[in-house]
Amino acid sequence: MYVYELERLEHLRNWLTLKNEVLRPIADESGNGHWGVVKHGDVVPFDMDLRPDMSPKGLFFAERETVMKFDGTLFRETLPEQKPQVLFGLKACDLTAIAYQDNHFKDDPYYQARRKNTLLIGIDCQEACENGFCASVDAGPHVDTDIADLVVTPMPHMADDEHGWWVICASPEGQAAIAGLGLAPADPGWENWRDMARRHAEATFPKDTHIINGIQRINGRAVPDEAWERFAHQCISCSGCSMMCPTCSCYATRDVPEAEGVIARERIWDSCLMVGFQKEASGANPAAEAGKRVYRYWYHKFSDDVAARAGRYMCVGCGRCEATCPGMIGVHSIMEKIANA
Amino acid sequence: MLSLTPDAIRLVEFYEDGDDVGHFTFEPVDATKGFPDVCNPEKVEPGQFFMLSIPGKGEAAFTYTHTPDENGRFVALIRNIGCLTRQLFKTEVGSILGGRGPMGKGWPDFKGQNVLVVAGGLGLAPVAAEIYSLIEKESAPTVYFAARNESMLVLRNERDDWMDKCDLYQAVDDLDSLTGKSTVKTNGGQFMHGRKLADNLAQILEEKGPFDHVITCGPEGMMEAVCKIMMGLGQSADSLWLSLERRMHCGVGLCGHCYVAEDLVCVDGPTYRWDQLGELVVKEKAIKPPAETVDMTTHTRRTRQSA
Amino acid sequence: MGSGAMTNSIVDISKADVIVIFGCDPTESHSIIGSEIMKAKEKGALLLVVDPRRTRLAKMADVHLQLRVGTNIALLNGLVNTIFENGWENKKFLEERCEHADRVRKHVKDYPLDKVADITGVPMDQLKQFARIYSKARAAFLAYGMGVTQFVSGTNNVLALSNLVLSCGHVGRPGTGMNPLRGQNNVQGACDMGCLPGDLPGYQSPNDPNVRAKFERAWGTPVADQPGITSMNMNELALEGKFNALMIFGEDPVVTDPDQNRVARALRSMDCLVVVEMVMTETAKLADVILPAASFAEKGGTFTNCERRVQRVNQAVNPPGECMGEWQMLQALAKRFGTPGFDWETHEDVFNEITEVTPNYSQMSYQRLDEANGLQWPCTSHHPDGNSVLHKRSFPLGKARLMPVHYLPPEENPDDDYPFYLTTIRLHFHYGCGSMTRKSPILERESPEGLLFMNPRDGANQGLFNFAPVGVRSRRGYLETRVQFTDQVPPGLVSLPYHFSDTPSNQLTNDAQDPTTGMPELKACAVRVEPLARDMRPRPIQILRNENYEPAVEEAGADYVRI
Ligand SMILES: Cc1cc2nc3c(=O)[nH]c(=O)nc-3n(C[C@H](O)[C@H](O)[C@H](O)COP(=O)(O)OP(=O)(O)OC[C@H]3O[C@@H](n4cnc5c(N)ncnc54)[C@H](O)[C@@H]3O)c2cc1C
Ligand code: SF4
Ligand code: FES
Repeated sequence: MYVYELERLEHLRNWLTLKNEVLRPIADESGNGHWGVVKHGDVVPFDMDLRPDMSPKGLFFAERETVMKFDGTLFRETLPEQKPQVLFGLKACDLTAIAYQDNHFKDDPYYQARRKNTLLIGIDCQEACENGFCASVDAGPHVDTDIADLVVTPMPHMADDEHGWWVICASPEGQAAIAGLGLAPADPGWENWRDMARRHAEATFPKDTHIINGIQRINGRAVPDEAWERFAHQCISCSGCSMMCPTCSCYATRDVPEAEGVIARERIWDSCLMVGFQKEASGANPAAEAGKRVYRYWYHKFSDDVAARAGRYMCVGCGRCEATCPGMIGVHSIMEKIANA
Repeated sequence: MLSLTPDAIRLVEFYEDGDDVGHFTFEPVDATKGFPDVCNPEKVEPGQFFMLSIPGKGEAAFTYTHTPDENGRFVALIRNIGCLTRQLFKTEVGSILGGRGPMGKGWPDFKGQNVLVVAGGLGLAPVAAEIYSLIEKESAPTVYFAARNESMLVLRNERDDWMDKCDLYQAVDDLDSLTGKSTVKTNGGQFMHGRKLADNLAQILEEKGPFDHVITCGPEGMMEAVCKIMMGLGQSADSLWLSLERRMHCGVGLCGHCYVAEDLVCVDGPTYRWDQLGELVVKEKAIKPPAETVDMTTHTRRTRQSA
Repeated sequence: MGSGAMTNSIVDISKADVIVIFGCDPTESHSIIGSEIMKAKEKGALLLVVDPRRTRLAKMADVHLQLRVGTNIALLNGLVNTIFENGWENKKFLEERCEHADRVRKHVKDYPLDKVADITGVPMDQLKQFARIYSKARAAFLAYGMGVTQFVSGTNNVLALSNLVLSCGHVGRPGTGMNPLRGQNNVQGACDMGCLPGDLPGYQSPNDPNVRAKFERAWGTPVADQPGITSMNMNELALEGKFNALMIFGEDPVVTDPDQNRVARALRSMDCLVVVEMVMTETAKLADVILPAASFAEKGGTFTNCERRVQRVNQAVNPPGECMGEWQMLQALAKRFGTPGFDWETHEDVFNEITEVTPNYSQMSYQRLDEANGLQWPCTSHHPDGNSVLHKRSFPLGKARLMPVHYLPPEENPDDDYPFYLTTIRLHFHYGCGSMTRKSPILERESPEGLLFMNPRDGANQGLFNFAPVGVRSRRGYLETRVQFTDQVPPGLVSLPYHFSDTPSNQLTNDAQDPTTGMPELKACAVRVEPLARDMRPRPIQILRNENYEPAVEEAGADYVRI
């Protein structure tokens, strides 16, 4: 693995804009982060603490997209076109989620069309973010080099001094992307420093007993149905958690008529917390009770059985559902409740 | 890569086969470059299903009632129940629709075994292809078919055909609804009483048993009853097979609609072995059952189905 | 107390130690407020719910008074009586800021707990517990909704509620208040702008010559010196041939008004009906002219929410085709009529005119609204930054008046022929008449049919099964739908959402009106539920009516007028 030294992240970002469309977290007027395009020559400083409210999953698994069209005689697949793009400044949680979805959608042509033209640049977090608990579910705070193309990690520094960065080439594509930038190779001590920084970052996480305890109790099926039914009173089926969650991947389909008799089939994000998610045409519904739906959501995020299939827990500890849930049953709230149920 | 784009198929035949139930035959529109998978006799196994597209209305899952023949023709038995099926019943013969498949796991190969098939109502559709296939393999099964009333005795031509090829027992819940119109003879010449499921199964077991395997398909409540009754009659849990229905949007394990615990019915099912399904169903219940009902450690998850 | 708006603000929910939800289900109809309530409850506030249905909040509540439909006033009088009898009232507040407390004290003596328990079906100890918790609260936030106002005795219900609030002094401070939850995002704004028959903008009365003079000066034209007529009255007059032309902006009275058959007849009998709409509603189908409206995302302006907050709406996309904002339509019309005074260039000009003639808005401007994320009226020179809590020191009429009110049973009660009470409800996946939300496939899937909700016990007694097809008949109409069992409704009560044009609940409801507001009695009437053949499909109203059948929303995934 090649590692280089870099003075300013903006240099790397600018270099990448030469050949790619580069997206990075950017704040809008209200202070919310989202993924926005950065143009060549843009000097806006990179804000390493900003994490977009929406996970980047929509960049590969579109919130709404056409999958095929029917013109009266033929069905044609409508694959998206993706110019080379770079996601610059992905945190470990989001990268872990992308790795999870890469696996789930490994044979999905639409996802892969976008994904295969994308370079992922991860960044190591230096401290816990609000609601984040990636360290508890093996998804951060540092980026696993198996799941990014390049990883940038800050060099040690004193107080508020400007510090430099190490750039870790985690894949051949990453390596190729910086060829020609003329960076100096890193001192061999980088790995120890990075490791120490990770331990410092891990120490900043608040107590996670309720998470660990909750996972245990979900897998031990130690939470009674009545308790789930009670928690579910607070689920108003807004589906906010599923929309924000970087690993949720369910979708619904629908046909939309277009001009001249053409029919387009779309797929749109869906959520298993909605009462109609599994409702069959006959009216039968295996998940008619709200408690059952809430249980399943969390069972899917934290069950060992699902983990055995998917390679890891579906939850990557980003805490977005906690921030968005209007009913106070996001991940921390529900795990507290479960731990005490 | 998976494909979410259907192949064009043509509706070539339709007739009513029961109350609000239609018997639909499809064939490939263009077989010049070989059969698309959905109508490929080499690829489709009994028990598998396909996604039927009605452009403008969407896509829904239906099992192969007849797997594709050498011309790629196949049959589905479909109930008129929702918006998509309503449109299908209005579709003219000759129209072009979409088909995608085959999907899911079919029934295991029961060649040479003594098999009992227990079907309720439209549940006859997913087992019909298996009955044909077993007859062809000279392992004709015993068939028990129950319906609510006479007008729900579906697949009349098929049953007519099976009559002298296998042992066919039939039952209706509402014996008064019988007008004698039904020409299909039932074993012993008489319809059984559909509500006396336990007695009927016991009688069949006595006359034709013991069975190596039992396949059942119908409403979930009925399948559960069949499995429990058969276990009470000494059938082991790992010789009971059933086919599950869940809402489906993709059929290939992407959309998430069809899940049962950690399984996706469209790829891991729709056919299940009773004990393995039981394992999943238990997980769907939040609270752990007492240890003696299910011992989780003794069952190892199957990777491939085998009989 | 004098004004038809929330006395406090949404943030006050988090400042209260007791929250009372009276006859509404904010988690379904005002989700953000519902969310605030759940958060407050998690943080330890006590939640009291008064509702005939076991709503989501009722299930979470510390006390749920599950009263019989239409017995609000008896319940409230009983509570006030208990409070006075035990000396739990806020004496200082009553003395300094209210009048007629004694009259009410005397009047409610007619409502002893045992009698109230009899009428309402709520056990005595629960009533007492409620009275105690509410009166002893440091700050109690009370919210009420359509369940209170949509009754013949709607106005009296509100008066009885305000007696309760005033007797405990839970108003004028943070975390308290008497807070109506409005049905739609801009109902408040529409009322503020004089869309009430008796008001000019800013609740100024046309009876006042000074007010009239002000508007005449501003508009350069005489203004009406008499109140207008209510929509129910319009129907009446139209049927008598005395009311001949109507322009409707974005409403679907054929679906949402009570006694629909009559509404449709009234609209048909007019010479000219113009409907301004985005989608083809049942009402639009009756129109002579339909004008295409721009949606919220396609026009600029302001909306005023239920906490009196005036907020900017920013245009996000251009309206398609010939769609335009309502002000542009009115302006174009005025031009054709040759009426001067409609020559705004932008929607900001319209707003500036509003601030000139509406005292409550006088210190607002687009710029100030943007800076402050919206301002809460009254926003006057005394309170240039708006007001989050009303009536801090005094009431509009000086002192607040307690008013004795009598309990009258609802106009129509269940009997042998029509044994069930029917109430109409809202589902949070649908909005108003569903003309917009029913175009979305996922929302449509969530509640596809106009279901009749019924207690499982009643269902069993009627020999029904879940999703069984049924006919619902009242003295005024008949419709068919499917029944869904739920413990949300108590035995004896059935409820029907009012969003669906195939199963319009208002086909059945009573159009007896509140004498003061003209608000129809949507919430209660007597019906009978008739089982249909088990495999029969409920027929949409259009077929039952058997006239120009044309399904409004054919089927899920069928027609998209616009999305
Ligand atoms: C593996 C499998 C095999 C099936 N085989 C048959 C068969 O042989 N004959 C038959 O009549 N029916 C069969 N069904 C059920 C059939 O798919 C539904 O009855 C049908 O989709 C519902 O009718 P609709 O699409 O008109 O309803 P709509 O109300 O239009 O449904 C909308 C969408 O919901 C989904 N959906 C609703 N109910 C179901 C359901 N029960 N199963 C799957 N998806 C659903 C579909 O994707 C459909 O596009 C099968 C279902 C499965 C899962
Ligand atoms: S479940 Fe919540 S915390 Fe976990 S990954 Fe999803 S949004 Fe993040
Ligand atoms: S149908 Fe989509 S995952 Fe099974």
